Amino acid sequence: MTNTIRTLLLTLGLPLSNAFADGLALEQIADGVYVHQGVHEDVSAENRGDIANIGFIVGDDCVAVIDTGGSPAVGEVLRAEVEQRTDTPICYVINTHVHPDHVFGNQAFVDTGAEFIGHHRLAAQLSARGEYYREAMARMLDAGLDQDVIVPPDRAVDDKMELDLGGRVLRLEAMPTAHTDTDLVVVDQATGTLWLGDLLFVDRIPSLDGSLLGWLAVMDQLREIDAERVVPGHGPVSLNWPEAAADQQRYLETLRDQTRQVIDAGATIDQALQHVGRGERDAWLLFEEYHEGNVQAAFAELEWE
Amino acid sequence: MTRLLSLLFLACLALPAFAVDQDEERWDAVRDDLFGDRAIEKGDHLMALQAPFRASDAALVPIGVEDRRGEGDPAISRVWLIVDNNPVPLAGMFEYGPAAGSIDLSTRVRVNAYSHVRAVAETGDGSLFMVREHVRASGGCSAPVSADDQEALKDMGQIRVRAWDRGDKGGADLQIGIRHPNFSGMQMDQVTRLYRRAHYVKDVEVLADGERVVRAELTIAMSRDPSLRLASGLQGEQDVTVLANDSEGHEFREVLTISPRISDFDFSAAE
Repeated sequence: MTNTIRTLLLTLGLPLSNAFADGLALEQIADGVYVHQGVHEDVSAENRGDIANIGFIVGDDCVAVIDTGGSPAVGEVLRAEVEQRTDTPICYVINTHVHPDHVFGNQAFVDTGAEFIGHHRLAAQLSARGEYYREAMARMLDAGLDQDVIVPPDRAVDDKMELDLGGRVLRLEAMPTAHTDTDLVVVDQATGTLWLGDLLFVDRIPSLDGSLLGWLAVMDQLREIDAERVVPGHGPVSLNWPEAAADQQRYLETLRDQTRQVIDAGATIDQALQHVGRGERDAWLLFEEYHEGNVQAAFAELEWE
Repeated sequence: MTRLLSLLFLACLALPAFAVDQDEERWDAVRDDLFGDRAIEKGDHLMALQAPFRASDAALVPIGVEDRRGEGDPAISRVWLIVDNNPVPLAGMFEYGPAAGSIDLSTRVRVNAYSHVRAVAETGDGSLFMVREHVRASGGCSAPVSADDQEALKDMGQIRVRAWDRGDKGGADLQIGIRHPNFSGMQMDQVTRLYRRAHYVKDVEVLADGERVVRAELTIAMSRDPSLRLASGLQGEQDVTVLANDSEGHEFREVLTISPRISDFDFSAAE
């Protein structure tokens, strides 16, 4: 009986552990810059939280990992991909913001000795949201997650910071509240690569968890950056900048303008949900899953204008 | 082996029925707590409950009561909004005053688990009537409000009032917002493992030209920045007073003269 149960469990367990048997598909989008594109789905047991763009940049002396995926399992495969490509040590793990699909792979990098780096508000937000995220992710992943899944930053970016990887320097900048209140921008100066995390969504509908007006203001600022390419938090891993932001810009402006219009006309949130941004429906993946939440967030922000 | 599988199978089959029983047991307990052994009748002819089938944000679920009463239907003095499966099931109790134009009411609540949401109305003679809907949402009460208290408490107590003419229905819709983090007491800090103490808006009274529209007793189930939309029975320009206090004894107050605006936006139009 004991053996039978073990066989049963193994049989049930095998497909799970085989999910990344072929590793993680990574594209080298510029010299030493590797990015993996997450799937456009919600987190599930099948995708194991592999829904966000994650990757790493290799210097002469150091590797910097940028975002680690939505589960320790994704983080482990990313780490294996790094170690397979280079003997250069992982010195830094940079988290672009607080959302679990970008930081729940951190745990896999703890024993590399890497320094974890994030926005100056990241530690406080992980502390405030960590338990809530852990429970929600465990439910969606259908897997146990212990408290160690939350790895706070060792070093905070107050405003700007430079990381010398040897032969190339990464420039980090903490943004005011936009997509979230923990958004960090990474620029690889050697290749002109702008890594935006979830400040930029392509194909997948943006999700608003910070400030709509703040996000638009930050995009105005980022558009001035001269970059060879951009890495969005979700979507194709290498795109032209700032052209890649055009759809998101239209969506956020529509959300702002139409929400203001219905608030001014005396709408309730219910009425706003029926009237704001419905014309964007066919322009985005996962529209029905996230659009209503965006309208509610926009409404709650803009009704205090 | 076969036995193990069939046990699993049975367990799966049994779940839905078990869930239904649990729902009924929960409501029995909540009803007993709030209304004792008073009879509660179906109230669909008097009011409708507006609630989303699936909430896009469990910490901000719009719910509303729509007045359906016609000629000859009884006066309603109080309405309770209840979320059965919340740790504190009562979200709010609303007592209507002489300046209330109808029992129309919209607000935003936290929903912590898939739950029935109910409105129970009490008529002038003390009879109780109920309508209910089911909402799919979870984690609304434990969802974090903010990373730091200073940010959350900024502008606390600021009150915003807007008014729109209700057209054929008569009177004015008063949209009232109160800046407040409304900490539920269920938000845990992952590092310290401590729960931030509850701190929320408890009582709100709204007056029009000195007469009560509504007095509300609210709980931790109300969303951050509590929002109430109420119907004043007064036409045209009116003095609106909002008095509120929170669980830590802070008092908030706003008095202003307001002319209901006429909205030309056609909310009934399909997109």
